[in-house]
Amino acid sequence: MTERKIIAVSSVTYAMKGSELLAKNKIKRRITKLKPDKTKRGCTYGISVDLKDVEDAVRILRLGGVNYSEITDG
Amino acid sequence: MVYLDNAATSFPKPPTVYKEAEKCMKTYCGNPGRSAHRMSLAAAEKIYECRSLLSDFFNLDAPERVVFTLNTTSALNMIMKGLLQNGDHVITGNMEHNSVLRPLYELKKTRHISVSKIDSTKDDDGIISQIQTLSNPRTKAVILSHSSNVIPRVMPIKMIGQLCRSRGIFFILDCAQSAGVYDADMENDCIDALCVPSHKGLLGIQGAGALCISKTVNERLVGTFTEGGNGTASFEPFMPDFLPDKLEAGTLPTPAVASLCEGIKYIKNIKTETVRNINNALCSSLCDRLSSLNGVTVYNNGRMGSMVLFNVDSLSSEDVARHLDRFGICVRGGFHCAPDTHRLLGTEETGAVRASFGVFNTQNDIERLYFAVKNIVNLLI
Repeated sequence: MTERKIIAVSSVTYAMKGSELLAKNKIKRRITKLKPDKTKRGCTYGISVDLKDVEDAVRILRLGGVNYSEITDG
Repeated sequence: MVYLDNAATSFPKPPTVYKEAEKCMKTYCGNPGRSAHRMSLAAAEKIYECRSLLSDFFNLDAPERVVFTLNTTSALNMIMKGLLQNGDHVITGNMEHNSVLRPLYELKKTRHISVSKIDSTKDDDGIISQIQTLSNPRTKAVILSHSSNVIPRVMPIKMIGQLCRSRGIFFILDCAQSAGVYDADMENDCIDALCVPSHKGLLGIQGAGALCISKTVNERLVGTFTEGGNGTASFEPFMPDFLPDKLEAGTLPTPAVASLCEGIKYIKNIKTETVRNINNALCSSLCDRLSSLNGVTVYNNGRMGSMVLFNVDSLSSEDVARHLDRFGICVRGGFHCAPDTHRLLGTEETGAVRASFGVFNTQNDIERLYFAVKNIVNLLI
């Protein structure tokens, strides 16, 4: 099974925006919520991507104005 | 039935609007932004689609700066009460709806803002000249309706926006009557905040509105309006400090937003120019017909647009509206939540009857209204 990482974003709106950006760049992604023990803020959405795509994904998100707070295990 | 009250709410809606609202309620109406299951995410996706459509429609280029509200009134309250501080000066017009006026009057009381009103009946150069004269170092915002809800009058928003931008004044635009009919381009018209309802010219159902905030506005300058849960960062004691989440507490009106998606697509497909042409043709026809009747006063004064305002002499406007309802014709009598406009027109005692057009009205509707009014007039003779 492919290892995945979750890129934590500010809210579901940014998860949607980020997902759209990644889709345009043909990166497989899925919107999810972080496990409670993975987030101090409580209730955080993230975009799950394959480990191999993390670097590209983060770059695309940053360029597209989607800030992320952390990258955790998927 | 003949429906001529589109300024209040548009009817009917395109079939796709009803279909999508029903589809939403029956198949994907989870709570957007709360869970990660398919229904919640499907709802969130539709919400985001609508943000994107609105952002594109008004050339905002930032879906995350579209904030969903209950309606235009709550959008206007949100931006005014979020932005205006103690002692600020605001310029508005003398033909505004109470959704602009009442929050300003409240802020006069609670935050001691000062308000100046321009004469909105002047020509475009006159509008600009008044804003230039009235603005001073304390002027924070110009707040105007793009289009009046009582008689046809469309503001020169590009000129106003450019003037405001050059003076560092926020330009807040009430597009309740204009959205879907007259174009507003947030970037090129220098609009800082734009407020719209789902249920009028954009042809969605009641229950939603949007506040679109330009990228030129620092989101930190806009205070929160309602605090509560929004599905994010539950352990944080305060609302998020970024848009749209900062201003969206509580569950969003997903079926209304879903319907709005289809309404916007419909308008984009037929184009706003088509809507304007329909309205102007119907307006012209109705003005001519009503003006030919003795005992009927038409207040449009040659202006064409989305509505005709008239009175039948010696009858109150509500009585006329009631008589017309018996003929199966829906219009609105009274003061239209626009007291200043009626004072301007000299109808503050009687109110007036407003027939307002929508994209599905036809010449046949005009004929039916004309004959009904003629009937009423004949009964008085």
